[in-house]
Amino acid sequence: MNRNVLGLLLGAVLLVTPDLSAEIKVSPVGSFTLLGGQYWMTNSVPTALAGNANAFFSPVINFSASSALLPIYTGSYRGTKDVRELVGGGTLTQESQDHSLSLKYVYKLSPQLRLKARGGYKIEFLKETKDETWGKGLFDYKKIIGGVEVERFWNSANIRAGADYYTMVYPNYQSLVTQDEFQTSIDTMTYAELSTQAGTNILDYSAVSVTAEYTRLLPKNLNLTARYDLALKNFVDQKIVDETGEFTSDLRKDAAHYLTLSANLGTPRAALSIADSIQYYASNQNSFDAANSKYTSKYYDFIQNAVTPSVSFALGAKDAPVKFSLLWELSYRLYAQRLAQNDDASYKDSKVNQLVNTMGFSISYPLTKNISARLSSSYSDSSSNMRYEKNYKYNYYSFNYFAGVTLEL
Amino acid sequence: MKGLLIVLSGLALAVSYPQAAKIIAVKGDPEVFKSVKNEWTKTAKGSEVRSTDKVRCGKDSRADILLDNGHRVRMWPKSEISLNKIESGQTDIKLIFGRIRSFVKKLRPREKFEVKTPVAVCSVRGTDFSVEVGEDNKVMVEVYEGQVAAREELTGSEVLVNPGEFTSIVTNMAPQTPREIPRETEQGSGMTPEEAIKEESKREIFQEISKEDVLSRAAEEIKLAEYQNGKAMIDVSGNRVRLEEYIVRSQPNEFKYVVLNTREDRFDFGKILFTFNKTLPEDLTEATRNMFLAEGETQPALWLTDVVSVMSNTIDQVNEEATGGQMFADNQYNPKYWTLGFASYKFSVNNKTWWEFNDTNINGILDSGEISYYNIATGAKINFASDFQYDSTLGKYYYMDGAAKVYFNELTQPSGEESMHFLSKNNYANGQWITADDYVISDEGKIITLSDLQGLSSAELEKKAYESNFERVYSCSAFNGRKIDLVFSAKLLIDSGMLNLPNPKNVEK
Repeated sequence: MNRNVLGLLLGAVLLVTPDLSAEIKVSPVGSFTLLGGQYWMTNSVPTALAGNANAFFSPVINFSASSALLPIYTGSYRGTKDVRELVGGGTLTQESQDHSLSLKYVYKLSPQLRLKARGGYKIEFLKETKDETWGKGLFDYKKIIGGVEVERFWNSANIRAGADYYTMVYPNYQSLVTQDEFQTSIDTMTYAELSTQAGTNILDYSAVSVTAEYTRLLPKNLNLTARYDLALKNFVDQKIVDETGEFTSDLRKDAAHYLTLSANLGTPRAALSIADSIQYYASNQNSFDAANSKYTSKYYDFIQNAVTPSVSFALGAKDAPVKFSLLWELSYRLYAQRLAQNDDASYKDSKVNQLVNTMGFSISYPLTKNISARLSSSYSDSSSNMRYEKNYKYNYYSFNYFAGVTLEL
Repeated sequence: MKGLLIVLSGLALAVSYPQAAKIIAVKGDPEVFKSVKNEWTKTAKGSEVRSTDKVRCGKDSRADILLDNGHRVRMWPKSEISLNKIESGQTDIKLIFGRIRSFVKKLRPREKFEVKTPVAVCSVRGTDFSVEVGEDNKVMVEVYEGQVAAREELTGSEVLVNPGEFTSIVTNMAPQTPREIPRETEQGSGMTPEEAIKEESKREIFQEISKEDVLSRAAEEIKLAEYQNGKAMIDVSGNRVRLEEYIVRSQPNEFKYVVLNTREDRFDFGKILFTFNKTLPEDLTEATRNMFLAEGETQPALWLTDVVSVMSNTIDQVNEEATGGQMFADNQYNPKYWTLGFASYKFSVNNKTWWEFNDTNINGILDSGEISYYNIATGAKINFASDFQYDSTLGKYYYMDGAAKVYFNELTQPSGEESMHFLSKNNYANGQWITADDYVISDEGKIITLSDLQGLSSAELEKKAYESNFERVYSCSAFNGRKIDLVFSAKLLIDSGMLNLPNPKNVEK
């Protein structure tokens, strides 16, 4: 299936690519950033000074004024975390790296109308413990994606709409209960009781996602954007858990809805932006907490709202300004069915909620035409009615800073 | 006389020679038409150009010209200009075809900066703007800063173009009413075509990166849920432990607790089957909460009759089997507490019994004659009287290994008195031994210490216990160097009292 998607995309690219003998221009576009910094979390000593690096590079191939092919590499290495990561699992992430190769074809049917096709492959490696090595991380994953998009411009508006199909594979994560070692060493009755209907590759899924975005350009450099994303995920091997803790034959299916409304005010020297993003996540999966003998239906369902104002401005020479940016994000999540717990793991009547407040700033100072020095720092705090934090921290603060350089092509 | 004339004319030329501008950046091969030479020649960065010179850029060429009064003119590919006049304060540039962008310094009174095209004149006062002459002589004027007065030559009609606006002009028609520059188009960017291509490419790439960011967050969510469910953690050595716990209710009066652990190179599991005297309620905690110790004057309605457990590394296994459970009152005439006691219990390793007891008088107390220890090599009962000596000071049995006393039961804290790491060991005189290391650890694998607990209230201590994981590591003379290493976290077992620690006060110093 995945190969078919990529094949179709490449075929489509070749079909619409105009005369290849015409003049082809290759324009390299890229950015490389190298940063060092430290990270703190509640009541912990700072992590050792560690480096982060990220890069993207694309030798953009313009076949003509109306068509271009973008082979894009993006990659990152992170030796320390960002406060906006999901840090509740503790200071677990030690190192991570990801690499993505994608091919994007853009064809202008007219100056106002663009068609795009893309395909890509991404792999992410994580080392979270002493014994995990690159490629052996429990949550390593591979993703294959293919999709199409159309974009239409008017003088005062533009619309973008697209659809993608992708698969996520976690090669190192299989259910323990279906593993051979367990089958051959536990009594057959217990094995049968536990493994009947239990899936093996329980995190793997495929998804279809659609996106629609409308931007309205208003006078005085103001624009308003509304964007909707829907991702329908089908888990290939994760069975639904029933109220007795046993697996049924039904597979898990999730739907993630995102609606983002934003306003941007841009001037040559400053930009103001505010965005409100609402996420509704729905799943047919339930949970049976064997440790507490507690069943929760629709365990993964939640609604989240995040408000993100930001401001950026430039000072100094017009050709090489010093850039400042400030960001604030306030995010509130409410689980639909998941009950909060007390310190001793006993359940409350209220549903789990979590409020995360994040603030950050960054400064970019030009050193040469293509190289700039960067300094950034972020603070985040989280509070929740979930007081049982054995497995996951819901109440914490974290802080980081990074300094380094960025090279732009 | 002739020589004098030549000198004089040379002086006259020098005096009237037009003021110079400098080419400060080039790309490709721009050319200059020197009025004094009357021919096009290739130019380079640093070259001077003067009034009445022309500059042209071919398909892949660009040039930036700095006028000596500080104004700057950027020429796009496929453009040609004539520097009609560039004397101080009076700049008159003719755009013959193509596109230029002008960065104009603030003008003093009586100074002017004009860009003429075949059909229009653009006059400015301190601004940043671009003018383009299309193939059909259509003129496009975009203003980024300041103001530009754009006048069509034949009609004399003029419009004032403000920053962020553009107008188009065709011959013999009034200029269009200025409108806002569309921001998503190349024309609106005020960049060269190459810069525009780059920016457009970056926009496409950032769209991809932004989309990827959303998908990465979705992957983070998947990981988050696994951590929230307690299925991934770190052991005392900093290594990955995966934990899956299951409760199976195969019969109305019993339930099975199964825990599975994996690490990089090992797989361990444990299973405990609990059998009760009657059908269990839907909420299992009602049965487990008081299954070992219950308060009250009357015997609890539910109690454990049998417990069968196995811990294994898939090769070795430790089994425990207890049967005939009953609740015994602390005082049969005025009971306040009820304690579970089993009629029989057996501890075996790799299917060989190491020790067992039978409560033959059914009093719920282990009397000395009711416990038997076995030599696993022969299967014979160990005779403590002949194999061991009794240390009356410590109240413990021991045997002599050379000059050293080896106690049958040892309980120590190998990681220090502060650490919640307890080692219990049984040493048999025939050389067989088994150890159980019990750790209390956080999810990050840190051993809990007494100082972590100091000053905590009883409620906080209880919280700490619930936040902790219990890890048991069995080593044994029968394992050939292997271990059984299992992490538990079940609140069900902590509540019931099955997971607890030896009292530090009883630990040998």
